[in-house]
Parts: sequence; structure tokens; C-alpha cells
Amino acid sequence: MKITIKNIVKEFESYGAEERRKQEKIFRAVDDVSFTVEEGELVTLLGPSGCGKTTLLRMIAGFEDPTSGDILFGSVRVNDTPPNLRGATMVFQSYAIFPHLSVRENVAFGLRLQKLPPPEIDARIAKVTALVELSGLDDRRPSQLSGGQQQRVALARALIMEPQLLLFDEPLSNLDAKLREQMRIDIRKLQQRLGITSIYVTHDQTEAMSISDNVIVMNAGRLEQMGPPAELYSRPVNRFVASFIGKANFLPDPESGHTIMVRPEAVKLALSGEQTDGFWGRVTRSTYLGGILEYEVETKDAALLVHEQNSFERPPFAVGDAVSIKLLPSGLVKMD
Amino acid sequence: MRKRLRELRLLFSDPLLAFLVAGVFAALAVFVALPLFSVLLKSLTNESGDLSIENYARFFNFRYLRSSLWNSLTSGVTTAVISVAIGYAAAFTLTRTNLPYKRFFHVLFILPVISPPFTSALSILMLFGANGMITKWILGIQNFNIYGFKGVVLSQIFTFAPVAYLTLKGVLESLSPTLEDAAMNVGANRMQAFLRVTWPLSLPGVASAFLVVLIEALSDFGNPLVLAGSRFPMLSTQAYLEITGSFNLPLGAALAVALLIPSITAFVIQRYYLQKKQYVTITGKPTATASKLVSVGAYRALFLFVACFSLLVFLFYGVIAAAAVTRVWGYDFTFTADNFAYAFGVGFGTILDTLLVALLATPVSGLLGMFIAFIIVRLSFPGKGILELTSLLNFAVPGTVVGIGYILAFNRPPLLLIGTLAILVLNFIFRYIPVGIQSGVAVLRQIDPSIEEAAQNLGADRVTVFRKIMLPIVAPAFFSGLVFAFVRAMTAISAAIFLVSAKYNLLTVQILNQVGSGRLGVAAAFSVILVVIVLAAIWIIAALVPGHAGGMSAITIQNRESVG
Repeated sequence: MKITIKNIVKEFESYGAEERRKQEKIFRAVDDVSFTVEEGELVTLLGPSGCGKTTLLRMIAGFEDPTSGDILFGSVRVNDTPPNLRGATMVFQSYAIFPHLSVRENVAFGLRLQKLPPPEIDARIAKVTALVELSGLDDRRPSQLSGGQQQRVALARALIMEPQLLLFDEPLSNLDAKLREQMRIDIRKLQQRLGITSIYVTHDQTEAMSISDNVIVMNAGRLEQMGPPAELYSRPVNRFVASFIGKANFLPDPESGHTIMVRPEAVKLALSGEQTDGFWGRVTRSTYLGGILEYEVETKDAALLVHEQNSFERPPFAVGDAVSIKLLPSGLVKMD
Repeated sequence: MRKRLRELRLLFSDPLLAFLVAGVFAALAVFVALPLFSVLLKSLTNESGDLSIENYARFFNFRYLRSSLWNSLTSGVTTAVISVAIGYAAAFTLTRTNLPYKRFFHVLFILPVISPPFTSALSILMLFGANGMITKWILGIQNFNIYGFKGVVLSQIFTFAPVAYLTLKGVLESLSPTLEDAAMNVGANRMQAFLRVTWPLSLPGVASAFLVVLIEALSDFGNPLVLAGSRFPMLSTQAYLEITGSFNLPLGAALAVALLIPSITAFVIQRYYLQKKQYVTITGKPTATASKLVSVGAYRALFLFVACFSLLVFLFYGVIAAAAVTRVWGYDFTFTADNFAYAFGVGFGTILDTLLVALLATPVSGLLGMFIAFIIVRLSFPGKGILELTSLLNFAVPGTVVGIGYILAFNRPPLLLIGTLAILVLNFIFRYIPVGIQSGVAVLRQIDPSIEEAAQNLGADRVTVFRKIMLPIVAPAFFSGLVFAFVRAMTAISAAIFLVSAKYNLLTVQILNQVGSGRLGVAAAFSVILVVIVLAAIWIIAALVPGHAGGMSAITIQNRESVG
């Protein structure tokens, strides 16, 4: 199902001491955001905490009402549809597993409400628990489950409804690093196999890059840029997007007066003497990260961050080395 | 056995600490266990002093004894059911809706908690009594009889619904609204989300609140004394009347034991079964916005309910304030200052006594409570379980039982304390240590033991660790415990009424005496004075202690810790 978000605005009356001091009675959490999600796509809302991404997701789920703007599921405006009739199920950050129910009762919760015949419920439970690799835990209580298992229960509970739209609210933020990587691969595989249109909220750029068809970068309630991961990384439209996704160097362009953005891997170094190009600097930091060597190079008017693939063919540059600097022309992005 | 010995040796490696622990054991044995034991023993003797079960046999022979047990239980259960219903609705409204002026409503709801437990009985007499403002003057009913079941239950609901409210507010706050979102997200409507998620999750809390109110209602003394009347005998007042009216101590003791059994049962179920079943589901960041669980219609109904209850609070307190400056309530409504003049004239000594007792008992009780909390959490020694149980016992034991126990245990040398100031102070100290223990244990369990180890590592002995490290850390809990204990000491009646004497009297007893002799105006004036002193004390401690430890929030925190 195609999802259309049109000029969504969400304002809260602010109660925080900070806002009261500034005498701002109204806080704009989401500021005129529009985008579309195509059928079967996974789109990620990415941004720092407080950027409005979770509020936007909760409006799509129906837990918050937008101050203005439209939310369309297909061609139907759902602004006034209560959350229980939207058919968009959600995987919550805290999992929100019902602690008084067993795994099975948690997963079956929505189907029981629809009063489906028990054999059909059983069949669908079997299917979905196999899908999320949760078989054999049916009668466990949530308190007896590990974090990863709880995560799978939350996913199964949302998937069993065969939703038109699947929503994820930072679903992996409570898991440890290894499990997080495994889960995000599993979620992406599952989403592609079932072809469910999905919206995914995260503040982790690696997670966003690895899982999405399209990423939306948000900041202070506004949509900064939307596009496929490769485009966001190679062609960010502004400084915020450039520095939020990956690392970036900003250099003044002496000819046009614009700022030029260049990624650390698009900077090539060589010991002076081997190459003579005019643009040179001195290494002030050299960090051995394993697969990558990271340097800080000071030129006469900027400090550059440089990443170099570890080639094992020569020793890394040392602090104090004089190096000539070359910028790959295809890696230069003009900023506004 | 080996382990016990090792623990003992470890304890005695710090002689001062060992001495203090032994002192605590001795004090609890004398001032908590001995009185209870005396009541039990006395109930098993006949009037000539021989061992016998004839007091209990009388239950089956005398109708009014049987019915006092029955009346206490039925009115207690009725009070508990209705109080929990009111408390749940109020707590739900304050935790799940965008009600404006939440803080104001919250303070209003808990006002009855800081008043003497029979203030509402006084209001009810003045509103619904034979000369009541509503019954006689507005409805024109002659000689309306408010005494008995309906009067007691009405008054107890007003007194104890706030207790249920505080417990249930804590319960609902600890249930994440995200769970309700999750239910609606997979297709539940509001009613289904409430009935299948919110309600079952709060059920252990509801049961807990029910038992807490039941315990309080069973032990309640003031409301029955004012409103039960002669045709509706109840256990706590009947025990008092047997002792002070008929001088039948053994029968009074037996009635007290009959009261003790349901109270202790409820306490044990609440503490050892229900508390383990409670769900706490608050994790991660809270979502600050209002839940979609409450529809506009339901919100209006809840708002109406909250507004009505608030009006009732205003009415009940307004009537007391009005009666305090009225010549003869029910006949002559002209303004007068005579009641206050009389109260200060006759009762000034009483006011001073009450303050003296509360001011002496509260800090000692608080310090002792903290120390016991410290040794419960951080030390291991043989008999720790018994010590913990004994120190918490007074939560469940009705004041009537404690009062009778004290007059039985301390009426001859070497412990001849009857008629002294000491017996009142000691009673309050040991009655309110559970408050200090509960909050102390809660705070201490959250402190990393390595903080203490660090202090010891730098050369501090265990007593110094308690004094220099633990006390400052637990200070906020300590002070909020003090506020609560002070309020309780100022407003207590059930045990104190057995222990006052011609020389040392208390305000609450004075108020009941005035009600008994029909001087409602004077009783009202004393009540106003009492509530003003309590509010002033809360305000002073709140001003002295920064943060949320003092003031009204102390009442909220302490109540939550003491009951749930």
C-alpha cells in the first residue's frame, strides 16, 4: 500500500521549564513534512533525538493527531481513523509485550479480538512464530524471555495481523551490538520476502543505511533530505545531512566562494617528494583502526580527516610526516 | 549453625554495632512483642486470673459480641470495595487523562489522609445527624438516624478512599500507556484495551489496595466511636468499652484478638503474596502525551466524578470550619469566637502535650527506623528475619490492640509507665518505625554496597559508615518519613485513647470527648487547630528540606511505600 504524508504539522503546548523561560508556549515537533512511501518499500526516518521522527510515526499509527496536514493510506485519508482500525501494526521500542499474557497469548491478541475460529488462529501462530524463529516458546511468560526473544514476540504480534503497513519505533535500541546487527538483517529479509510497506524510525545511521530503500533525514521537525542510502552519502544537500550520515570535511572553494564537502575516503595522501601537486599538509594524528587508517592532516587553512584503506604494503604515515593531498573530483559536493 | 556462629563473630568484631543491634532486639521485644503477648495471654484468662477459654466461648453465647465481629467485617468489606472503586476512578483520571490542575486535585484528594481519621464523622454528624444541615434544615426530616452501618461506612469511605487512591495511582503510573497503545495497534477498541490490558495488569494493585483499606477500616476507632451507635456494636469500640466501661480486661483482650486475626491475615496476603505479583512495565522514555484510551465521553464522566468528589471534600471541611465559629450547630447559626476561646482555655495544655509527644516521638522513630533499615539491608546476623517481622508488625496490628497491650504490659514495676508521658511517646515511636524502615530499606537497596566498602577501606568503622555515609544519602527519605510519622502521631487515636491520663491528654482524644458531650462546635474548633498545626508542620519541613522530600509529596511517597 502506498503511503502519502502531506504537509504534516504537529504542535504541542510546551510545559518544559526551558521553553517557558524562552516564553515559547507552542512547540513545533513536526514542521510541514511531506513524502510518499511506495508499495513494498522500507523507508527510514533518521535523525537525532527530539527531531520529531517518533512523533511522526505515532501520528501515522494514530496515537497522536496531527495539528494540520493529511495522512493517506492508499487513496484514503486516515487522519480521523482511530488507531485500532488503521491496519498499521507497530513494533514498539519498549516492545510493549503484555506482561500478564504468555508468548502465545501475546501473539494471538489481535486475532482473538477479531474472534477468528481457533484452528485458523493456531495455524497463523504456527506460521508467524516459525517466520520470526520463535517456535517452542509458546507458553513462556514475557519475564522469562531474553531481550532478543521479546523483540521477536513484538514482531510476531505485529506480523500476524498481516498489516498493510508495518511501523518500527527504534526496535533495536535495547539490544546489544551483535544481536542488533543480526536482527536488522533478519528484519530486512523478512520485510522483502513478505513485501510489506514499512516505516522504520532510528537514530542509528548505520542501521538506516543497511536496511532501507529510502532514508529520510530529519532535524528539528523538518525533513532535510530523502533518498536512497547511496545518494544521501554521496550527494548530501546540506551540512547537517553530510555530517549526520558518515564523516565529512568542509572546505572553502576559492573560485566560487561556496563550501565544498569531501568524504574522508575521497582524500588521497602521499609522502611529499613522491608526488608534487602544490596542495600539502602535515599529519597531526595517525590512528590504526584495523581495516582503515585514520589521519588528521593540517593544511595551511583547514584540518582534514582522512580515511585510507589498509593496504599492508607500506607502514602508515607517522605524526609529523609532510604529505601531499589529492581530492578525488567525483567525491566533491558543493554545499549551499 | 557454623554460618550463624561466623555471622555472630563478624558482628562482634565491631562491638559498638553489636551492642546497638542487641539494643534494638531488646527494645522491639519489650515495646512491640511484649504488649501483643500480654493481650493474647490476658484473653486466655478468666476474671479470677486462671487460664481459660471462657472469653472466646462468650462469642457464641452473646449475640452482641458475635454481631460486633460480623458488623466490623461487613462494614469493613463494604468500605473497602467502594473506596477502591472511587480510588481507581480518581487515580485513572489523574494518570490517563489531560485533566487540568492535576496537582490541585491531587492535594485535595489526599487532604483526608492528613486529618484526624474521624474528621469526616464529625462532618457527617453536622450534615446528616438529627440536627444535620442537610437532613433537618434542607430536607426537613425530623430525627433522621445516621448512626449504624450507613454512617460508619459513609465516613470510612471518605477517610480511606484517599488511601486507595494513593496506592492505585502508584500502580497505574507504573503501567506503561504504551501497552494500551500496543493493544489498540493490533485492533482493540478502547473498552477492549482497558478490559484486556489495563484492568488485568492493575488487578494485583486493586487487590492490594482493597486489603490495605480493609486493614485500616477494621482497625478504625474514631468513626465507629462517633457513628456506630449502641445498636451497631463493632469490635474496636466494643473492646474499648469493655475495658473502660465494664473494667473487663480479659473480655476486652479477647475482642482485640478477634480483631487482630483478620487484620494480620490481610496484611500477610498483601505483603507476601500480592506485592510479588505486581507488574512494573515502565521502561525507556515515557510518552508524555495523553493516552487515546479515554474517549471524550468517558473523559467528561470522569471529570464530573472528580469534580463531585472535590466538592464533597470542600463541603466536609467547610462544615467543620463553619461549625467552629457557629454558636450552636443545628439551632443557632450566629457567628461566635467562643468555641476557640473555650478550646484554648480548656485545651491549651492538651495542645502542648500533643505537640510535645509528636515532637519527641517523631525524630526518635525516624532514626531508629533508619538504623533498623540499615541493619536489615546491610548486615547478616541470626534472628534478622524475626527482627524485620517484629518491626513491621505494627503496620497490621490495630491500634486498639496495641493500646490494650500497653496498659497490660506496663502497669506494674519495673515497667510502671501508665499515666506517664513516656508511655505515649514510646507507643508512637514503635508504632511508626515501620514507616522509617520501609523508606530506608527502599533507598538503601538502591545504594551500591561498594560506596560503604570504599568508606571502610578508608578507615571508617560500621557505625561511622552509617552516620557519615548512609544517613546523608537517606536524608530525603528520612525527612519525608518524619513528615508522615508526625502527621500520624498528631492524628492518631485508637491506641492513644487507652494511654492518655488526667495529666497528659491528646487533641484527638479531646475532640472525641467534646463530641461525646455534645459540644460539636468545640470539637470542630479543636479539629481546625489540629489541621492547621499539621499543615504548618508540613510546610515548615518542606521549606527546610529542599527537593521533594518534604511537603505534600512526602505524604504521597510515604503512603505508597507503606502500603504498596
